[in-house]
Amino acid sequence: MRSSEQADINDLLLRIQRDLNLEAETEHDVLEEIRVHLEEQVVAAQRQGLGPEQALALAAARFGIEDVAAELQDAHAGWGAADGIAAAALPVICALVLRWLVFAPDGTAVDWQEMLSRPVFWVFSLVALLLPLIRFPRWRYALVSWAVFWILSVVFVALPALRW
Amino acid sequence: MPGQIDQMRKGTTTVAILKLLADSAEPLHGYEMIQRLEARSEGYFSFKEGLIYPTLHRLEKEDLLGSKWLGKPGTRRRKVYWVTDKGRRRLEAELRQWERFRNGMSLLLGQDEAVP
Repeated sequence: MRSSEQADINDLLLRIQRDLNLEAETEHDVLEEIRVHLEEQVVAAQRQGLGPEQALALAAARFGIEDVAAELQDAHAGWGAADGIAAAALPVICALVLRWLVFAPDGTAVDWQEMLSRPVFWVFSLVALLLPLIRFPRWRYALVSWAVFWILSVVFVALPALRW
Repeated sequence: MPGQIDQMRKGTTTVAILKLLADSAEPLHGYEMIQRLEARSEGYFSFKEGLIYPTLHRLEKEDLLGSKWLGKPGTRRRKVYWVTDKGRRRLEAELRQWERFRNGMSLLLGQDEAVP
């Protein structure tokens, strides 16, 4: 396949990619799979006597370039209700458990230096990261969840006597 | 009417893919599947080719299909698919359902082709 045809296929892939918002690795694999398909189609059309431009236009039309991105996005990024609830609840629950671990039941805060010396603090911080990493389909969401966990935890430390 | 037929085709894509892969002696890639589906249905089963990929990826997520990449990174690689045991069980269930539907429609339309 000539380099100009490769460039044209790259343009088609870019059109699909514009409407995709998947994890980098997934997106790369999906586009690679589509690239091979389009290349096969173009070669087959040329074997039937079409010129390069006509072959590419036919390949694009038969493939359904305009429709495929939305369907792919739907197939890969769909979150169920359980995932949504987990995404909202996990950081809050983790922050509350951490608060329970490092604050005395009467609401008196443990000194922050002592807090850092407690293994449970570090173990729980790690658990609060690993749980969403395992649970969520995208690591970015896990990091957002972890950030929310820390924001809530810092609020609890900064305002130990705060009553909600 | 063409819209209804398109909907029917779309609804049968899953079972068509599972059957095609179950009958195949080797794993197949997307383009190959399209070619075989069109050939099997004598051109009747024709749809936007790209739409096979979301379906394949959904089936893979449901563990009905397995997949792997053939070829080394940096070279031309192909992703091929096969039916898992779970996929075969789903296919059997889908085929039984399809058979009942076909019989029901035959009886409804007054045709004598219903299979007992």
